[in-house]
Amino acid sequence: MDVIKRNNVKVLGEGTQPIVFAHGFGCDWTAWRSVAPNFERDHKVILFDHVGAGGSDLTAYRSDKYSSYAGYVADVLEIIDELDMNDIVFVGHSAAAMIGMLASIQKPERFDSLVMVSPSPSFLDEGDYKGGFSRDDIDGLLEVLDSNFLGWSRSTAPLIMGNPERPELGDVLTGSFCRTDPDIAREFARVVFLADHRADVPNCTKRALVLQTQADLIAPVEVGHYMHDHLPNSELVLMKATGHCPHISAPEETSAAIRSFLAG
Amino acid sequence: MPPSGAPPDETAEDLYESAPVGYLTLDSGGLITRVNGTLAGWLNLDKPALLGQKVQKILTPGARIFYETHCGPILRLEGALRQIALDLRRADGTRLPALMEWRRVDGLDGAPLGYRVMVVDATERRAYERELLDERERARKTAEELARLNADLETRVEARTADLVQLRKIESLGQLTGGVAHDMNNLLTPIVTCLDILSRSTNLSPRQERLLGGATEAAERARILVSRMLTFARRQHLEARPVDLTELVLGMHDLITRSIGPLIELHVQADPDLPLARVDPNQLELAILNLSVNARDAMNGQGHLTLRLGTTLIADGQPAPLPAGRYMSLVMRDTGAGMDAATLARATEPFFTTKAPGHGTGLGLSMVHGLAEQSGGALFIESVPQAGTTVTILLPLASEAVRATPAPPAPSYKEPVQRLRILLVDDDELVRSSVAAMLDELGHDVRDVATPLLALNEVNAAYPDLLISDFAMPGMTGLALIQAARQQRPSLPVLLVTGFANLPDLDATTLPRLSKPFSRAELASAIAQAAHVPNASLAT
Ligand SMILES: Nc1ncnc2c1ncn2[C@@H]1O[C@H](COP(=O)(O)OP(=O)(O)OP(=O)(O)O)[C@@H](O)[C@H]1O
Ligand SMILES: [Mg+2]
Repeated sequence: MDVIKRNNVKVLGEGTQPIVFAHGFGCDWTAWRSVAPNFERDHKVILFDHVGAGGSDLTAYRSDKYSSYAGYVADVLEIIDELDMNDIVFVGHSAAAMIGMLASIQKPERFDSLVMVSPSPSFLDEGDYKGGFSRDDIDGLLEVLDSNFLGWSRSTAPLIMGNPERPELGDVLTGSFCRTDPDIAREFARVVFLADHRADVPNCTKRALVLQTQADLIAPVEVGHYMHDHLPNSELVLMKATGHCPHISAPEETSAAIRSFLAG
Repeated sequence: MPPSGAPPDETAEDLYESAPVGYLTLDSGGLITRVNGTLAGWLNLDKPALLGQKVQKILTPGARIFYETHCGPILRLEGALRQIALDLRRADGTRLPALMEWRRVDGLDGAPLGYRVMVVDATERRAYERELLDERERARKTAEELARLNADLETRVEARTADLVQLRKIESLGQLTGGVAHDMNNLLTPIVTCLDILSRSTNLSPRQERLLGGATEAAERARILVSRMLTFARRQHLEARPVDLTELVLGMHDLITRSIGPLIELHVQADPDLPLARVDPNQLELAILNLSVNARDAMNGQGHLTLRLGTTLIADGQPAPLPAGRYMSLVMRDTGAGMDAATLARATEPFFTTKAPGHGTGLGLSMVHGLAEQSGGALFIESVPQAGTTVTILLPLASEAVRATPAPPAPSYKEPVQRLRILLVDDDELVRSSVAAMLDELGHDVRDVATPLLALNEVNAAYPDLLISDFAMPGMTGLALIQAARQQRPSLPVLLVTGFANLPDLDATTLPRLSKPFSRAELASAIAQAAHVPNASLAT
């Protein structure tokens, strides 16, 4: 198994300390294209796609392996082994913030610190905890996913993904962003939106930065506070940016926050 | 008023407000700045309630996640979204499935001014999609089920192929074994004969007598071994006749007990009034002994051995290696170590043994198997490791008519009844000279020749009292020779000597015959019989 090919791993930059950027649900590595270059001078920059997204090897996808975060965490640890990395800064958006957190709990010796962009340990409301969604809401998401991935919408679900017989589509789509395989996206959605990793949060002892935006409709500000309160060693930064993807909508503010966290 | 029949006279404003699509304008931050009447109507909301809201607010929570995770980033990076399926939320909380088109509007300096959004009601289309998706899911399940069935079939075919390979292997082993046994018989004949002649000489020292005894015993063991090989190869000459199995088994009780040892309990159970089986009783006794010894070895000298006699009905259409009908069953069950699947699969293979060298030849079960099949029955073995083994022999029933016929008394002989002129033909020099010596010993006048043609000349020239012929000879079989000889002398008494006891050609004849190897006494008795049945015919 070629880990580098499987996860479409790219290594850039001139520095020595590795900084890994991991994309969340619905995106691929290109989500970081306005943030990652800001770190190339001082770091070794690692970008990759989770299996099922972007340029990853779709044939490596197995429903049983990726039926929970564990499969994704294993992939991250394999990339770390393959590149023989230590002292890592792991920057993860949303779902990938959880993946990074779980990886650092498994192999703390490899990590220096974590940057969690719009993280959420659980999206479902439960008792006092306000994840933001009900089970019905998640079913609604799955239906919308189905509908978009049926083929009406090439914007998010390029046919190329399930269509090795039509390589010409590859050219049309080169330079596109955030492509995911429909069937895999559906299963990834279940992993991300039905998982509850609140119990793991206190076990993450690494220095962590929680980046929380204004009016994040996916991970509301209460969840940002929850993370900050339960991570033993964390800082919370409330950004001016709005929405769930500040690394896309406000790359400069995001980069600055990360830089000052790393300096501090 | 437009004339009736003319298209509606719409202003641009009318078109905007009442077009059959929804329309929205957003500022660069995603807040709604304008909305048309059609969309407000669909959502059942007043326009003022919509203005200034984030566009995500009119989406259902599920659609909002999709918008935030998939649409937002693409819209930002690429400036357009085509035909995205999203669910809108009406004032009453119900869902309006929609298809939406998004376009970013950039100012002259390239900075975004805002977005244009068109909304199409996709309620019916979405319902149809659901059906399609359900159908696809069903098809996928069917395909999976088919793949599973296919895989199942393949493993079954594989297993069958393995069975066939095993069968073919046993078949070729049978041919090989038969051939080897035949040659061994030819070699044993002179050995047995010479030993016999030697043992009859007087003035033997005790040491010579002991040595001779050892050699004779070894030859006898070799003879039994060859006979088991022949049974396996289904070439044993069987004296099948009606046999009362209960009587046979009870008669063997002591023999079995002795062979299994004192710590194994033997239980014999027999249904009352069992019909007779059709089988060679001597061979069956051998088979039962073989099975008893196997059971003893498997139980390490301790346990229970049960021998059950009954009948079994093989029904029509039942998968069995036998024609439908009633069969006698002899079941031997032990509480021994049992066999794993691999051992069980090979147990009846000749020379297959798991026993230490010198402790098993691996011919026991193959002999039993050969006997059962050659008798028109079958052998079944079931075994559970650590629990025990059950061996079942099925044998055909003897018809009632045969029941009354008593077994013919073994022919006795007094020597020498009569000095005969005997013509002996055998292509094998060793066999021929030793048999000739034996005949001489018995007081007969022997003329021996090496080929059937020479023999035919002799028949004409010398008028022998008896023709003793080997069966397998180059150029002409013993059977053909006898046929040719009888053309000239129809009443010529003959004795056929065979290595392969059970050749198909021979089955059809009642010619007196003698299986190799044989002792002097057996030869004498066969001669006595042959000389008295000169009219035995070639065909039954
Ligand atoms: N009752 C039994 N329980 C367990 N294993 C048995 C039993 N009968 C036969 N087997 C297995 O099958 C093998 C073959 O049996 P078979 O009677 O043909 O040969 P053998 O007993 O090894 O040698 P031989 O009978 O020629 O002395 C045995 O070596 C043994 O492994
Ligand atoms: Mg045996």
